[in-house]
Amino acid sequence: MTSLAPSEPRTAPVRSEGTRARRGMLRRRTALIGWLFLVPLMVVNLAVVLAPSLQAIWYSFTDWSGIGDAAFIGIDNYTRMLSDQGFLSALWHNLQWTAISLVVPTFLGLLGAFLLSRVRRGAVVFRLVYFIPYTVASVVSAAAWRTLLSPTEGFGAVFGLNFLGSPQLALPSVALVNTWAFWGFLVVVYLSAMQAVNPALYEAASLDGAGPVRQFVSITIPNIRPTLVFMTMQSIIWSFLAFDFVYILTNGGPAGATEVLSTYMYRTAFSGLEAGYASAIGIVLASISGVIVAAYHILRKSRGWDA
Amino acid sequence: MSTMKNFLDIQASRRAVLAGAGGASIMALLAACTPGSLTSGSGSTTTELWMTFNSKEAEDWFQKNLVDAFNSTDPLAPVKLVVKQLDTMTQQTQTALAAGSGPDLIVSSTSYVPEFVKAGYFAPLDDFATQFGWVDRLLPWALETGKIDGILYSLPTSYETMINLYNKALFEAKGWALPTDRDEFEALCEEAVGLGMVPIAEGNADWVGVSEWLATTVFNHYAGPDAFRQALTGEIDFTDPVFVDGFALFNDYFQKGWIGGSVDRYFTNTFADQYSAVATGKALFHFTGSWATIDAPSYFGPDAGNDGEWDWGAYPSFRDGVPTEVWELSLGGTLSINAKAPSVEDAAQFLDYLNSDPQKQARGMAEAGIQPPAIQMDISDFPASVDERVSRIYQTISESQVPGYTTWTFLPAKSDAYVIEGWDKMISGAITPAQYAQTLSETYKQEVADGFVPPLPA
Repeated sequence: MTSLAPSEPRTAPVRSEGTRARRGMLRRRTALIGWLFLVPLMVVNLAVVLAPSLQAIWYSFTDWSGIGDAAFIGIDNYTRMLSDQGFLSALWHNLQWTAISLVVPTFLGLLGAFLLSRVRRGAVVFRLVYFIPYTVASVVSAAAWRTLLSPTEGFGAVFGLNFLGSPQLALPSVALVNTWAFWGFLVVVYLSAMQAVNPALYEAASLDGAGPVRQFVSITIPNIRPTLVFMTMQSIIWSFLAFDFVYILTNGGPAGATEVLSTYMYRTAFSGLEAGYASAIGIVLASISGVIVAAYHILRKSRGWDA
Repeated sequence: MSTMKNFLDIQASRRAVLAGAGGASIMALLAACTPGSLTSGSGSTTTELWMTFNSKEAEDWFQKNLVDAFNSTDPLAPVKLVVKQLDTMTQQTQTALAAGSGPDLIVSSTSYVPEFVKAGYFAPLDDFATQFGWVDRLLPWALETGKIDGILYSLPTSYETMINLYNKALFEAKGWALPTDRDEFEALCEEAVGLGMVPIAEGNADWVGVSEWLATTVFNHYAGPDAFRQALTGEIDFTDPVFVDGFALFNDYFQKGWIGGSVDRYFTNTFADQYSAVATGKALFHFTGSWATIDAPSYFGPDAGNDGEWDWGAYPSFRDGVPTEVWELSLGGTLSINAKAPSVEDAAQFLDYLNSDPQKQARGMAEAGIQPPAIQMDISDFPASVDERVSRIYQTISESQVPGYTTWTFLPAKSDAYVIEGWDKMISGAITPAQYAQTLSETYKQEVADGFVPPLPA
């Protein structure tokens, strides 16, 4: 055994060292090429994402009005939020918006996708019809909904309600318009996830006597859970970034009834001339999204939702 | 060999691609950091002007008769007009200026000018005022509003006043006269309500600033211009009962449904709703400004399917001792020169051109509804095609004995923003008139301390 040992690698080490070196060089070159191809994107990201983000962090600790110089004021902007009724009200509206955006579109999206997954004829037509609102520019959708919700014509006249003028109705009304524009996207995403579920599971369940509801709860939901959780996370993040329909339909009104953090931040920066404070609100918004993403990743790993 | 050659070719081409990609990125980064992108908006031999217009017709008229006409005189720096959206131009300008860029000629408002000046964004214009004789040509009060610490930094783009729009045909048919005081006003409103009408057609769905038109009405026609001026100069406080009571009165009108029909309808009424309501006899008045004469006429008369005839009058005096004929001084905007403009002199030439031909400006009003600049104009400057009701507004302003003050011209930016925001909260019941006045007072005092208050004419 020992006598054979030295003779065995006599030629092989020479070949393997050379191969290893070449492979190592190739790996380094490949990695370098990869990184170099990333350079343009990184430059763009540095210029339009990282640099402004770092600037925003700095300005969040200043009294900058958006005009002229800024003076460092420590964490005053952050402590101010705790007692700023405008901020707290906008945050509360965001939470309400998130609740509506989580429940209604998710329910409709799952229902629509499940029903579509059972349709054999005309499925493409339905998918297109559901998806179209998502492709329409929000300014166009908003103009149409403004007329539909008007108290003198459309639904407003029919029900005798002023959907966008009433402080009680305005926020849910705008959130539902947002839902209308958004739920078709969820249908398509959930449908593609459902189509990846093994049909044999449904057949077996059917043979065992499980009805459509039981199949949906026991087979569909568990099998599309990664997609469901991911889209739930996205919906929460999008809810905190809600801006367009609020800005176009009510501009945060009536009397702040639909003000959400993003519109409050915008108004604080430009109408209130408090860009430093608005930056702090922006940092808090980004932090909320960051916490949601972190929670998602922790849950995904701990619960094994990728499996 | 051929394999090796191909390999080398591939390597060479990869290197070339990578070098190109990396080089392009570095070039892009460097280009973004070049001084040119940080100086004037044009960075070239043109003078860039950002503006916003009420209509395409007005934009085309301005381009042809002012920009193109100026450029045809072979100036050293031709003007390049960049049209912006009304709702976002202020924000875009503010952002661009903060980034060290922006247009060469900057449209702003008197509310923002003091802060822009303190940030060093604007070039002083006193030398040009002397060179071009602006002191003799512009309306003195309007020229005064552009002076910060005695130095001229901006010229007005246009001037306006507040008017009470009504349906003359309806008033004649009913035998009504325009009310001159609060008693007459409220009696007429009661009668109109009895007829199923809304006394004042108003709404802020198209423009949140409508709320400050109403606040301006309180300041000038309830408190009175003297009291408002005293508050602006710090002699009295905005918490003075003369203001709080005025806010309370208008809030009461809102709660009675006299303004806009109801509070919630006020938030969804569009300008079309308001003009139509007056034209069709569903409302008595529309509290507005001279700018309404651009769009409102198309809602009146046979072409609009009604027999309405628009006209305007003075606001009633809502409190004893306040004169009826108060005409508010109002500027539509201001024009300043970017301190980083490549040639301040060239930009000043265009400023002078804009304020040089009263007859052409009056023609702009007749042909495209463009509000005239604040230059000395005679009634004879207006062409025959200008509606008599429009030219009468400017004649009235020029003959006015009691000037009033608009919030968007004489309040600093934060106070002006709060006038709107707080008003909507007050009529919604979120705050009381006294709380509204209190926050306005605190905001204004802070801006006074910061030195951001626009100048008042003597």
